[in-house]
Amino acid sequence: MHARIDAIYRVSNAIVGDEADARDATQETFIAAWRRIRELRDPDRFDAWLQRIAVNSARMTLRARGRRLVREIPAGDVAALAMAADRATAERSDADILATALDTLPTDQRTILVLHHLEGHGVAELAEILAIPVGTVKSRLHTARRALESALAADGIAR
Amino acid sequence: MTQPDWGDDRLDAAFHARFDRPAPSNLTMDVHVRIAGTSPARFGSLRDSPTWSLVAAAVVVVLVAGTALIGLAGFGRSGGPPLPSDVSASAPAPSATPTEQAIPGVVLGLPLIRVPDAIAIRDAGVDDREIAVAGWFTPSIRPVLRCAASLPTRPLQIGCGDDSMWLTLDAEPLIHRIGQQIGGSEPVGPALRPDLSGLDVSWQPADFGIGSNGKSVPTDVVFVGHFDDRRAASCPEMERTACQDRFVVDSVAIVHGVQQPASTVVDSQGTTSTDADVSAIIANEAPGSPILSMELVDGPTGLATIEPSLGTGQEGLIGQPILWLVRVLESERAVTYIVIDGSDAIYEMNPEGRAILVGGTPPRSEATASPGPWPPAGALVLDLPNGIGKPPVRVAIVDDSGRFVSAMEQDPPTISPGGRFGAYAEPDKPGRVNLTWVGGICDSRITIRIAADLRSITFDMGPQPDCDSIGVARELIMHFSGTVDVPAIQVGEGTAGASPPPPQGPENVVDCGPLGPDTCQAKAHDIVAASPGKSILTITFTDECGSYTATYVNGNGIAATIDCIPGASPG
Repeated sequence: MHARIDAIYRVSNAIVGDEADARDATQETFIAAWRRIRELRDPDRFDAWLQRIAVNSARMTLRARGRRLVREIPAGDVAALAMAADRATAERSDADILATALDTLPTDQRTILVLHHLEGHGVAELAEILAIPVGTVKSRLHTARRALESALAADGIAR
Repeated sequence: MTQPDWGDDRLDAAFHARFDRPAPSNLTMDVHVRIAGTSPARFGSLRDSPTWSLVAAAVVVVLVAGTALIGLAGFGRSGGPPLPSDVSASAPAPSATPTEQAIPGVVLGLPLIRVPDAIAIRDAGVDDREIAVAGWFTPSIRPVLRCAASLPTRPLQIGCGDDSMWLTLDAEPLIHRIGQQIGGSEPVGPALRPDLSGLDVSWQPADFGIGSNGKSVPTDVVFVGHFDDRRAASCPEMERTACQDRFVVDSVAIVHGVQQPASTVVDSQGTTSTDADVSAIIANEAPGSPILSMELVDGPTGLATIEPSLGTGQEGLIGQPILWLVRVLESERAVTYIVIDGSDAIYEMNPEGRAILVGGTPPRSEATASPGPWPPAGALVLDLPNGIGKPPVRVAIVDDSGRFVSAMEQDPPTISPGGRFGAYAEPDKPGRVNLTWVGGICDSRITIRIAADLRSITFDMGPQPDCDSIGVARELIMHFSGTVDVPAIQVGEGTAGASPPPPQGPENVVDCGPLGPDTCQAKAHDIVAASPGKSILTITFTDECGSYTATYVNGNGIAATIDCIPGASPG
């Protein structure tokens, strides 16, 4: 149970990009799983089934959550923050650089990259989790990878 | 420093470095509590089970135990629709009726529950998750009633005849005929008020199912739907709870034991798209999610009756001649998508009632850019007499406050207005606004818009043909829910078109950036509205999702980040 919660939380966090939302998505995943457990025909495919629910829950969380986080800061700090961010770019780790680039991608592209690179799923498993044909997985994975590379390059961080 | 290209190995390593961390320690406990409503010990004993099938079985056990703990109804019943005694049992009883034989225990992936269980969910708090409820349905007797004047102006309001529509636990005969008269009675046992708007109801029996004995026989059904619909927010305040408690049916899943296809209601002619086209668009946006129902509406007159929040012209959808409203089951909730007929443009209604473009390209049309038809969708229209031989003056009242209840003309006016437009309150009538104005005999259609904060009422006097008009004093008595601070209301002339008034103050210093101009204005308006008492100097949008920086006149600023879903219009 713990191992599965870790895995679902990891995927959720990578897709929604926020720990609090990842908690919510993880909970929704397991609640949905027990409500729909009778749909599961083959227990051996449980993990793929659960990950599919997790992807849907993460997606719904992204859509449902408040879209705006507002904080009030002195006007001068707005510019200062931007400069600080520029300086920090050069010093960021790969993990931070990746996170920034991922944030610019559509949810579907981020999802397929997370499932492939973080969870290590091959195209057949991705097809099962995402309920799309293998050929579609290949094309979407290719497109997502190109988009990620573009995002990295656009930020001046692909070296 | 030179770094290698982003190859697979580097990407994999970055992914793991960024995201490979365990779940928070208390998350497991939270999951247990939410699943079972009980302590984790029950689950913990199964933690190390060798196969998931055992864990899955345990989950079902915990489900049933948890369900009992929160006090859902017992399973003994008399005359109600049959159900398996627990969700893991699917074999029908030997004496099963058609529904008993058909109900699999799970409908569209949702565990089947009965009316008392649904009532428990409704009363447990705000919860808009989809549930599948079996029961006996009694239709509305509205078709035989004369009550057009009291038809509801907002979805989910219980209007004329709706109070006879029920989903009951037991097969209660609630409609009766005596002579030529048809009447209804309230159920004795547990019952829900369903809302079947937008669904095909051709499965209902003729003549309300009234038999030769003059009593109705309800219909054995399974409805999939939800409580706490987001549109309840548009109901008048005093009716809001009733609207939230309405069981909004998204799919009529089973009738008399027979599984039903997804409902499609066509209210428009000459569609360009087909069901299959729209289904494909939905499948692309929500892969693997079942369509619960489809409804075709025309934008100008139909959309706001279903989605009131779109009546102000948001995204220009009310300018589109034909729209497909599709309800889809996604992660336990019904999501409403709107597809513009003849295009691949698809919008998703978000919980705040905004239509978010999530795919495709909206067609460009003159209708989209026009201020919209008259009367505006969702408006209450009154006809005021205009002298013998003259057509009446049509007055459309557009309510953005959600508090407007009704209006009637005071003829002749009680007092003469001091200016061209005015409002006054009567003593001991806190929910009443007496609205006065000086019109003319050339008036033909007037639009009155009530602001969301009820701080202003604006008049659009409509087309004024070239004629010498004689001033005519008018007065409307308007009723609102709650107390109204009448002296604080500013009344005057303005453009009460399809769009909400532009934001106050920053309209000349809004930098839309990559945000579209229409969305930009709407967002700027929201930002101003969210900053009461502050004067905003500039608003600059920085990306297509609507992230912005704003500065106040006092030199402070606000920075906002939007959880961007690229490709989607910002909400």
